[in-house]
Amino acid sequence: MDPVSRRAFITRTSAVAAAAGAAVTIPGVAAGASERAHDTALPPDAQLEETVVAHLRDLHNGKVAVFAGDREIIVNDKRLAALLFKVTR
Amino acid sequence: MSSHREAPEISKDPVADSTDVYAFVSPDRPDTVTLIANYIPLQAPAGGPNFFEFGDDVLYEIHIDNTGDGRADISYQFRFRNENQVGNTFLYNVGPIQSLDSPNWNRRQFYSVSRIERGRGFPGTDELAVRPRLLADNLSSPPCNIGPLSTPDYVSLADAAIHDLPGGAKVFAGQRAEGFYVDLGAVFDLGDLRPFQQLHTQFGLNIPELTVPADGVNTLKASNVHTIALQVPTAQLAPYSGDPTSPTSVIGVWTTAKRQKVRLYAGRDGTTAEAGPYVQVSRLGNPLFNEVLVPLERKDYWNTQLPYKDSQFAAGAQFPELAKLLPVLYPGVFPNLDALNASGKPRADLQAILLTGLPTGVIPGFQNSGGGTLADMLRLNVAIPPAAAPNNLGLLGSDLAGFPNGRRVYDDVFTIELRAIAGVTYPLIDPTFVPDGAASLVDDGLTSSPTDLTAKGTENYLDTFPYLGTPYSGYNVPSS
Repeated sequence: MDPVSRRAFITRTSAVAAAAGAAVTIPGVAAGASERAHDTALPPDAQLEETVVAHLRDLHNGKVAVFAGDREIIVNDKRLAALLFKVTR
Repeated sequence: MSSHREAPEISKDPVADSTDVYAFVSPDRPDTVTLIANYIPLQAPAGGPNFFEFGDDVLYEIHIDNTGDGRADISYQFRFRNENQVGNTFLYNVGPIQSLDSPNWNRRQFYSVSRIERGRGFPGTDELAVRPRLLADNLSSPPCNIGPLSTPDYVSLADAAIHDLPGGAKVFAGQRAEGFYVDLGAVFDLGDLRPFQQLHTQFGLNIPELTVPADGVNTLKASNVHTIALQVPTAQLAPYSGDPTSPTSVIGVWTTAKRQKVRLYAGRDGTTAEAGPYVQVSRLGNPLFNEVLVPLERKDYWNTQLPYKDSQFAAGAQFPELAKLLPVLYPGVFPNLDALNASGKPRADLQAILLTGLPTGVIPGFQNSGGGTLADMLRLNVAIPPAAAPNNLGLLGSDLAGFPNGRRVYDDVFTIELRAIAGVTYPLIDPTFVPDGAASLVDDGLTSSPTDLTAKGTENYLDTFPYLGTPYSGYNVPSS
């Protein structure tokens, strides 16, 4: 699946974070690359074709596990981790 | 039980809960090995309206180690999917099911079989390192056995669900009669063995009905399980076998069930969604290992581990809790076992039987040690031919083709392991030890003799693949 924008990530996260607790549902984050995670540009043919789930593993070190298909992708991104945390507050 | 509901967490997840593993040289096709993994314990046959089925979100596997290192060299993977054929009905079937493509059968299950080869020629042992080779897809499981109106000729339905695989193998995946027998109700009532219960300490309760011996009760009689059975040419599992004295003739077998890391109960239509890599939630090699030898708080952890890491559980075999309990529960009956326990010597006999296999020289003409790795696997020397006159006590009954050389469907594994723990196998590593007289007598009273292969008529094994009997129907069980 192609990466989905951070904007969409924020939107979806906001909708479900309160209910999901530590395991937060997100539409997608670029695989293991912080820079791409913050790139909001989407390919025109981007489609969300599978369930994508994010798990905030370590708030202060910015470690987020993203589950998609049969993959587990670790994203190290303190801004992303902080954002996830804030939307639960 | 063998491994039914053996750990707290997996007992809440029956479709992923492995119950028994069998591995034996096929008696009717001795150039093949039969591998069986059972799941979904304690099925009451009258399970409608939603009858039992494999989990379509579970990855089932049967693993084979043919190099003795406790790591899988070959794995078979099974993935299931469901189809509702009829629609707009609450019923499993809307008429008699007389064929596997019957339009009356609403809730059907199909599966794929893949084979992964690792080891020789393949770098590393990462389970994801080698892409599975799809052997077959869209294979039909049979329906559950419902009753004379719904499944009037169940035997034919089940026979039709035996599928050929490339290379001469066969596969079956579906409901079968439970083949494991044990007096569950008594054993887990503080170690009551009904035939010997008058000798039980009874904790001073003085219960009149326990002051006399009683016949054993096969608690699992007339219950069903879900079976994945493979019959594979031996050369495809152990390519260098043939010499019974060679480690290359020994395979280690176990099953695992895996789930994806994440499950979401998210859909408003009641569906779920899964994501992430598969993680192991259940495994089984030797019967009763996790159930009896691993402390309660570590049982679910044990289920997540790989056999080659089993040295961390070796103490459970070396110093089994049950060996200490027997002299307490049956005062004066096991004095030699009591003394052995007090000596603090590790039970090297149990470690060999369950974790390393028996090396050459312990039993004349026999070995099933593929290597020294401590790993809970069902070890089978595939060069030992099937027994002409099987003994349900396996090696304890001088039948080299039976447990713990693999495991046949009729082997009395409860009695074999009970007697081994009671000390009857300790002379294998210390000839000066004299087992208590009771050690070679104790059982739960479910067989009439070592040649009884039906557990006093409570089991209905088949002579041919898949060997486990026709499942019981809900109409007939319980009977009035």
